[in-house]
Amino acid sequence: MFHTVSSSNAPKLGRTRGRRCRTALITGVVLAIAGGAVALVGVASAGAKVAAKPLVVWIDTSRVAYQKAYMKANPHANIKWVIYNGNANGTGVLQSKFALWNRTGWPSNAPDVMFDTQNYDAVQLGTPPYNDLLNLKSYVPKSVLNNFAKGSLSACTTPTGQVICLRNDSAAAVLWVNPGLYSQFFGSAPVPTTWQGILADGQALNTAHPGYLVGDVGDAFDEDYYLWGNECPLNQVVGKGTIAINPNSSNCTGIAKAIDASGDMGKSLSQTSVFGSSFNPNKVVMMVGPLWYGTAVFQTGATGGVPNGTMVAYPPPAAINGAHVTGALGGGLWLVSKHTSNPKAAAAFAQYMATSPKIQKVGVDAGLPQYVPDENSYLSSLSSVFANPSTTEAAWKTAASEVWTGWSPVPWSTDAVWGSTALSTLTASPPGSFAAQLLPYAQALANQARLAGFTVKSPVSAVANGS
Amino acid sequence: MTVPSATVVPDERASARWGRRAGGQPAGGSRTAGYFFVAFYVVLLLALGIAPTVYAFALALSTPGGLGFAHFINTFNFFDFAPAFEHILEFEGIWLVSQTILVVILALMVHTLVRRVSSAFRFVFYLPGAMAGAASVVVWLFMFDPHTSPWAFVLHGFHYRLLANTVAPGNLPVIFAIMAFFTGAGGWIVIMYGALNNIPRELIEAAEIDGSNAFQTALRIKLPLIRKWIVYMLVLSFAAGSQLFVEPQILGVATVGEISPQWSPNQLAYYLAFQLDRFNDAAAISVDLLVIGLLVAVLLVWRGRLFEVD
Amino acid sequence: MLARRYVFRLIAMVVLLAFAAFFVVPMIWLLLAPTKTDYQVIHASPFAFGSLSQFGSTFHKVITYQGDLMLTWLKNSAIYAFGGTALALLAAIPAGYGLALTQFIGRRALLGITLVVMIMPATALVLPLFLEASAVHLIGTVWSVILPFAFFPFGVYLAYIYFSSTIPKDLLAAARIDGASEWGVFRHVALPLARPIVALIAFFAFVADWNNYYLPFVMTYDNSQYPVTVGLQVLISSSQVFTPTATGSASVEIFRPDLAMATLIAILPVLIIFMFAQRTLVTGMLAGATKE
Repeated sequence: MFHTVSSSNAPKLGRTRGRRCRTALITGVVLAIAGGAVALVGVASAGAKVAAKPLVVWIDTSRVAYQKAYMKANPHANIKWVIYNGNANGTGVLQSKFALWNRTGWPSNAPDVMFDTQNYDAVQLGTPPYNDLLNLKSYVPKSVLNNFAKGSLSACTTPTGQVICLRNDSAAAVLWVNPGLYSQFFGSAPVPTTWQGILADGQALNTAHPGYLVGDVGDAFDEDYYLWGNECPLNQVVGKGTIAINPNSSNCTGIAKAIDASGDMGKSLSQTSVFGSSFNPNKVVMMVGPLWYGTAVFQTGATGGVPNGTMVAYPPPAAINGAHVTGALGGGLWLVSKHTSNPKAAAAFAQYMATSPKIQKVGVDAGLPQYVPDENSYLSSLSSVFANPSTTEAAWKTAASEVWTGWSPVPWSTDAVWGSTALSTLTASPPGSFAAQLLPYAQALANQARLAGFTVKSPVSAVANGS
Repeated sequence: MTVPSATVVPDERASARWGRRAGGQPAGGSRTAGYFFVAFYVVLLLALGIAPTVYAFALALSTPGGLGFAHFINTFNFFDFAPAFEHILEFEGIWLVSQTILVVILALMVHTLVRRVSSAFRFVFYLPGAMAGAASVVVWLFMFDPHTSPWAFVLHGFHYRLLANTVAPGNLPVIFAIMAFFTGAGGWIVIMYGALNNIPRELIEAAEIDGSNAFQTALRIKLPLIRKWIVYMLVLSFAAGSQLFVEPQILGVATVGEISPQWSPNQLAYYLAFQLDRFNDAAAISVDLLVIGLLVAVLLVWRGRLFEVD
Repeated sequence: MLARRYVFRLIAMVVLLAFAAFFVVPMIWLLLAPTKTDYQVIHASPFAFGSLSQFGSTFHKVITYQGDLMLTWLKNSAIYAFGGTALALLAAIPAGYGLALTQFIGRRALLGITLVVMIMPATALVLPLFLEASAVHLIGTVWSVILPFAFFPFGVYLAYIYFSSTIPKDLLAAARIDGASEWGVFRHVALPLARPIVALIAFFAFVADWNNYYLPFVMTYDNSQYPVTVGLQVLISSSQVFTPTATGSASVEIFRPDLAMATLIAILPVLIIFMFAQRTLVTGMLAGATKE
């Protein structure tokens, strides 16, 4: 009698004739009540109808600079800008609203274009049971798509070859260095190029200059550098709906054991999150982090931050197995709704935002534009912020091309899982073992995968079968 | 028509507050008038109380192969199902025990003070009730962060230097208990105080003449007389606590996932419905929670004999 | 003997003061935080006072956040809470009267059901209510929030207790003999006496509606529809402090003092009501369960 929408292949619109009959009575009753009291105030958003329906664009706080640049370049554009949280980690705003609208019908003020800070979202929202994103292949010229950095559209491409988002910026991790502090402590020694080198420098600081930092283990994003950046296979989609998880891989245990052996955690590896209230960027000698840490975390020029012209980016450290790869955190996607009333305009808008130099060069707090022709104008806008712009620019370009693709975009947040399984141990005093976090983390990832309908492949039976 | 065999007279003092109770059975006008007066409420009750309940059961029980318990079994086997209920039980255990003990002790203590002082205390205790829900979570976020908290010295005593240390998974039941106590306890203290005021003065004076000290009077005379209120508080709190949602939800957002988005059963239901598009499974968990709430309510109404149903 | 009594008093006072601190310190912190800059909130003493001008600029920043988003949220909260409270009163006062002072088939059953749904936490019904509201296309309208608020069995029970304990049946009988209609009796005899219970129900309904988070969180879907409780979560998740990926120009960034200010604004209406309503609260909650 009642339609079920629980299986992943079920049609999205769960309303059936049966349920309709069942609720007809309720409908009548509820509507009667609603109608009987119309004197009350109307819907907050049911404003006057404008002549042409504006394009509804959802952006996050960081993209307000884009909004200003856009409106400056196109002062008469009919756009309704809405600031939301960018679907930030764990909040799933888009998922919940899409799920809701797929049941109730899409309202006219639903967003046409969205900026999304979660790279895994496109795959989830663009494939069943959601399937709500526009295939941009039919709207964005091939020549434009080809100008995106190599591999940068992989998180935007569905298994069937649709392009369901445009990548705004790269958030590849580089090695941030404060050259003044570095030469003060390490003289003319070259900046480390490996994880082992960074951890060894940390050991030197632990005793000689306690309080100074070579990195951080204090927030939910650390696995993005330590594990992703070391080719640790905990998040590898190996086929449709199948994920491989192997916490016993030497790529994972290698870096974890090196961190444990260094004794740096709680000393030169900060247990305070770089976003935490007491984090002091002036103590950072070096730190692996995404491009946007340069302005957002070190707060160059701001109160409590380092002065402009202090930090320099170096290429990311080689993985413990010697590979030249790196991880990533953040960066964003432009999504276009399949339910937009004007797909052409919406797609054109998304393309403009992702590719126009007028927009991309203002994204100082964002990462490197993934639309390659925009890179230089973006980099030139940063020349006053960093100590050695040409080194920084080269490092960014290197990092953007080295992001390991074995850490797949999946419909759950690997950061949030790290946060809820490993973080409290690593931030305790004294800190627990990093290596000991691998198995519980892998198990929790496997559980999330199963909850989302994935099959888990793992040589570790506790991960493969659940516990 | 059922004629009540015995009319229960409500608490004299409570009635006195509102004037004299007219004895006898509810009698009066025609039946149609009665229907007329309750009509709007009954419509709301049917549409917004009964209908969603029935609807939730129907959704939870409907499977591709007809009616069945597949969604209940499904959800029962989720890795997060048992932990979510364990979390709630642990939270409720800590919260109910500490709230009961503290509310009773504080109410008894406040009751020994002169009126003006006691009313100042009661006011301070109950004011945080104004910030139930989202607002209290924001405030406690800062109270639990050793860098911003006025209670930093306490947190440092536990060797917590970071928000992440304070909201470690093992601490969450205690943390939510503190939040719930902060917003809820004051109201209950005020109520217990009111109940204590309803104890006839002669009774207490008689005890004091018999040589009973304040402590003994509280334990032997006052406590048994407010027992009913304690039960009332326990049951209502238990029912409300089982629905925990806003606190873990907002705290999870604020700590970038240090709290699982499936921490409480209500969160799990929300996650299933709105993140994974599995509404039937979500309905099954809602039904689990509904049944808990219903059982508690029915138990209290018909066994507890706390309410006046003429 | 006397000494022991003083020792007891002393202990009691110490305990009471300690708990008073527990309850009042967060409120004081909340008042002080918006007077400071974000840097001061972290590095200065929690009880340090910043400056009034900082308080003013924080207020301005929060009120003008994204145009007038905060005002929109407050307006929505007011619409939901006033609408829900008004309808709750409209339903509860006559229903309480009908249950207390008229006879009809099913009266006791209705009373029993009312008690059960009153104790059952309302949150349990949120998801089912969402599914129902979506079936009748009310999602995203004010009614999806106001109608569930209008259903307020606790108010019905309070009204029932009130009418059954204050209005002498003889009075009604006399009015009927004088030829008043049933409606006339309610309108001219019962209603004028009901002012205290209207205030009481309005207090409980309004506070519950204003503070409600889960229901509007599920029923509404964008900034322009959220009440201020959900708005607070939006602010938290838009704040760089809690959502590291949300960085941007200072004018739109939300820092700790801004969050404190937003919280302060959000609770102000309820706080004011609370300040004047302590007696009301006691009366109401005591009436919630009156059988000795």
